[in-house]
Amino acid sequence: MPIDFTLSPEQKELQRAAREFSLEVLKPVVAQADSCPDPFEAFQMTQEAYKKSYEMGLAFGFIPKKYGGGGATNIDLQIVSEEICAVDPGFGCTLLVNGLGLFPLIWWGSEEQKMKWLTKATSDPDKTFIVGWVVSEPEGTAGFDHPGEHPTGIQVTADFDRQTNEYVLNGRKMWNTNATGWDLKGADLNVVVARTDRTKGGKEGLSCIIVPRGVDGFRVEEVLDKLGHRLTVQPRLIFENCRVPAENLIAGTKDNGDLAITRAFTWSGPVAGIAAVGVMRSAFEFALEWSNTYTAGGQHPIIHHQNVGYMLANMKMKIEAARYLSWRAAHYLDAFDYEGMEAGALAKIYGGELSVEVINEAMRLVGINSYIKDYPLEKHMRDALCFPIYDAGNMGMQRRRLHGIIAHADYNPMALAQNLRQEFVKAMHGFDSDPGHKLRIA
Amino acid sequence: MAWSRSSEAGPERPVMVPVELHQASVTRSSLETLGQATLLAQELETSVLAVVLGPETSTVASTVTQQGAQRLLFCPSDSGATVGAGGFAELLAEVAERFRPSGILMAATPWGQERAARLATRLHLGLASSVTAWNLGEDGKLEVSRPVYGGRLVEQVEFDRQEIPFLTLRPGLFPVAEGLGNGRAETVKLDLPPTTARTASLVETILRSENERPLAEASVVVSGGAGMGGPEGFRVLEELAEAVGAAVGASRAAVDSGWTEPERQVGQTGTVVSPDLYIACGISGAVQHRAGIRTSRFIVAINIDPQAPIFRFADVGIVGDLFQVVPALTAELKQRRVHT
Amino acid sequence: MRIIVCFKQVPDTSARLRVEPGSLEPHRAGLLPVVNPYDEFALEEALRLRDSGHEAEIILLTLVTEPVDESLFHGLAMGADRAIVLRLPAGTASAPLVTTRILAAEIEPLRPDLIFCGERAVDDDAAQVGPGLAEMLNLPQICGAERAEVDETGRMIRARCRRPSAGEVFTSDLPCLVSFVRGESLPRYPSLDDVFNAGDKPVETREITPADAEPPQRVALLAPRETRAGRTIEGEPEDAVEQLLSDPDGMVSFL
Repeated sequence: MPIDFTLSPEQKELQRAAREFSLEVLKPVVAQADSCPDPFEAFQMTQEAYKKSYEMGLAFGFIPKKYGGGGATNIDLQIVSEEICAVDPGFGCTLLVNGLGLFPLIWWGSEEQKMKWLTKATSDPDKTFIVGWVVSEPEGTAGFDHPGEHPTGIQVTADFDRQTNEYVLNGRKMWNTNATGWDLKGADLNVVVARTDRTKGGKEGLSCIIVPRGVDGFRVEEVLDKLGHRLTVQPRLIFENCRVPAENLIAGTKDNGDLAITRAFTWSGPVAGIAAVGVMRSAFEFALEWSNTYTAGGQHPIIHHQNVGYMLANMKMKIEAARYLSWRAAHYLDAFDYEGMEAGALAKIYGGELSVEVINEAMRLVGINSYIKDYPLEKHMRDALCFPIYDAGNMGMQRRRLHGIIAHADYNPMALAQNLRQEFVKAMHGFDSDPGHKLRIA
Repeated sequence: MAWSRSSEAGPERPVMVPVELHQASVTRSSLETLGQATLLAQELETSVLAVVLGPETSTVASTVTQQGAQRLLFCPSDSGATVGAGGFAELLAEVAERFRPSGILMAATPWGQERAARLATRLHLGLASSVTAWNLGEDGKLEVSRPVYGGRLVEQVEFDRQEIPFLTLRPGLFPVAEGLGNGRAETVKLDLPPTTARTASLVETILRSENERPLAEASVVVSGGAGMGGPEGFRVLEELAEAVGAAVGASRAAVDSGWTEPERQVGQTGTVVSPDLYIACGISGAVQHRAGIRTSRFIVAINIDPQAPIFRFADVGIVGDLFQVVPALTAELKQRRVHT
Repeated sequence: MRIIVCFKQVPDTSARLRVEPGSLEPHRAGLLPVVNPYDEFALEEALRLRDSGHEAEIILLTLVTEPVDESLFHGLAMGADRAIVLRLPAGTASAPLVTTRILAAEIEPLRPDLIFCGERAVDDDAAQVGPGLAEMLNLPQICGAERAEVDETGRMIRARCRRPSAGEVFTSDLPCLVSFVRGESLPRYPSLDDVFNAGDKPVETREITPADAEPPQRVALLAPRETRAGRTIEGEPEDAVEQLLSDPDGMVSFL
């Protein structure tokens, strides 16, 4: 019986440690931060919890041990993330984006680059080291692989200055989690995807560049004031002749920034999926407790009523399905060294969209009382509404990528079921961005 | 053990009560224990032997006889303070060898529990600790109730006819009655060898603030939980506690957040309380907390969340902001005290 | 310095417990096992001693009748160096006297400098094994400690203990037994590295033959009534207080 859903002793202990952290360190700050009207202050309120998570190795657990990280697998991250996101997915997002930012370095950086930057991240005595993933722009991220030349798709440019051996960045970014750092002066590291070749389209002209804290020409224009996920920070950024040494370009990402984007968002797919599971789980537990105690003026708790039972059953089905799809995707990423574009997208889309349904069901089950701030469901709904549209949105990026994969000549529909590798090529970013794609109707 | 119960019953096989002293007087919990020992001794048709580790004083003697002890043994050569638990076990084992008691009772205070456990081990007797009720059946079996699983359940255990029961009794639960004894008690003299047990030394006593009443034996407790919102919140409770002579407690959440001292924690990993009145303020009512207050005679809950579980486990509850309700309650109670 | 930390696994302390009629054990289905919280306090203090500069080997010792992998793992992840598991056949009970004897026999040849344990276990709540071990091994005991420190010579321990009206500070020569209650520091969270390294630490397992039962014997296990009248009062604070105090059989009769 080879398929095993049982957690190992290490995984149970991880789960326990993550759960205790989330309940005892994170939870006490959530209500206050969530209701803080200033979005940046809200983020700053999480710093103590962040430091504790750093101490516990959770902030950079995904970094290989060689560079001081925990060497955690994707399955380990699933277990930890669900516990954290069951308490607050915003804080979970902060930790998630450390990964989005550093994985391109882990995958494509030269050994010197990795040694230099990764060890910095894992050895911060202040325990506040944070990494921003700077891809998204005011015109969105979904058009990143647009075949047209600048200005289309990613429009922040990084021009090479031969005389000073520097890249000069110009343009505006938006929605870049963590990029502000803890004081609006910048994250310790911002990994920026920029157009290094203005003449080529998105599939050839993008690269990843490390912009460390303190360089001139980088500034936070505004911190976005969001409906939910209020414990995490997303700013508008301005790059104005921001100069960084040429060696800050992550070696293997030259002209492959598009692959970095896709692969990073593939890694985060199961993480976002399980984040949604965490939120759904909390909503379900509340609805269950409610059903077991609320009598609606009758003589017994409402769980006695069939409709309530059926709604709870519907919710539970979705939660379990989403969880194991995320686990499966994470497992696949572990098996094939993060080459799991189909699996990552499926998990991300499914968990996120179901979470909106499930929380809506929970609210309808509880009734109008769920609409006030006295009860947690309104926060769960505000948080869940983000899932389908963040971290590479489900329409513009995730489904588009699935379309590109499924429509490709080399697609194997049984690859996941049979645990076979599926190689990802640039043509699979999206069906419509590649001339000559299979099945094009003349 | 060398002796068993049923063989020669009678006044020569007393119920033995090692008595705890605090600042040279008998503690209230030991008085409660002596009272229960008297009742048990009556049913066993024997007497009560009180053992005091300390010099003979008339005040101790009279207090103890009022609770029904017919014989007193003082061990003046080693006062309880210097002897430690190991020495206590040595001395009391000697006493037990001589008197072969039909039962041993102590109060389940920290002092009592650690000594009872050591003595029971030395005598190889079964010990039932923190007992909340006992009953001697007609068949001679002693059935005893005690809380288990952190107070969530109650077990009933039985000492067979010939087994020597060794019990520690929950403090604050049994009454202190007057006039149980006939006022005349025999003082027993016994030469005991000096103890050889190795012992820890008490080097410092840190008194808590004068206003701080101990939780374990308080008859009224006012407690604060997550709803306190911070250390300042406890001031409101302290005023109420002052007005009614209550001890101040806290839930684990409040202690973990650093809002008040760990000594105030009530619950499974804190103090289990049995007050007459327990007022829970801003406490949601988690299982672990409820376990610590279950035997309270009357529970009042004050919480802003109408869905807080505590309301189902309270006798009466007020749904409201505790920072308005508690001061109003304090003011009203102070006024009533003035008028009575 | 060698510190033995006695460790026990108990049913989830936050769960409501049910007892099937006639059963002498709580209903176990769905109950997660956890480390006895008091033992966690003890382990935390041992780890703090080591953190403060004393070289210490910290050994977990437990007597079990069921698998304890998770609890043991947690103790090793927190920082213990190794574990000794004494296994009784499943379903056998072990009275405190029996447990004490088995543990004492195991501890004696190890000649520890310190034995740390929780003051009580949140299952039988007996609070006996600690003092019992001290008696059988002829050691001084310090019970109910919140904090313990060992001096630079490594031969003397100083512990602050909780008492109802005051704190008491004891000192003792080593070897010594100390039982712990909740202290100032919360037991530490294992880090990711700690968790991944725990699996490599040695765990020695030994089968133990069960001994005879000791008195007293459990004859019943009851789940006492928890819910109460639960009458709630709403309204303005002054009115609510008025209502609360106006019931002659209510709160006022207990003041």
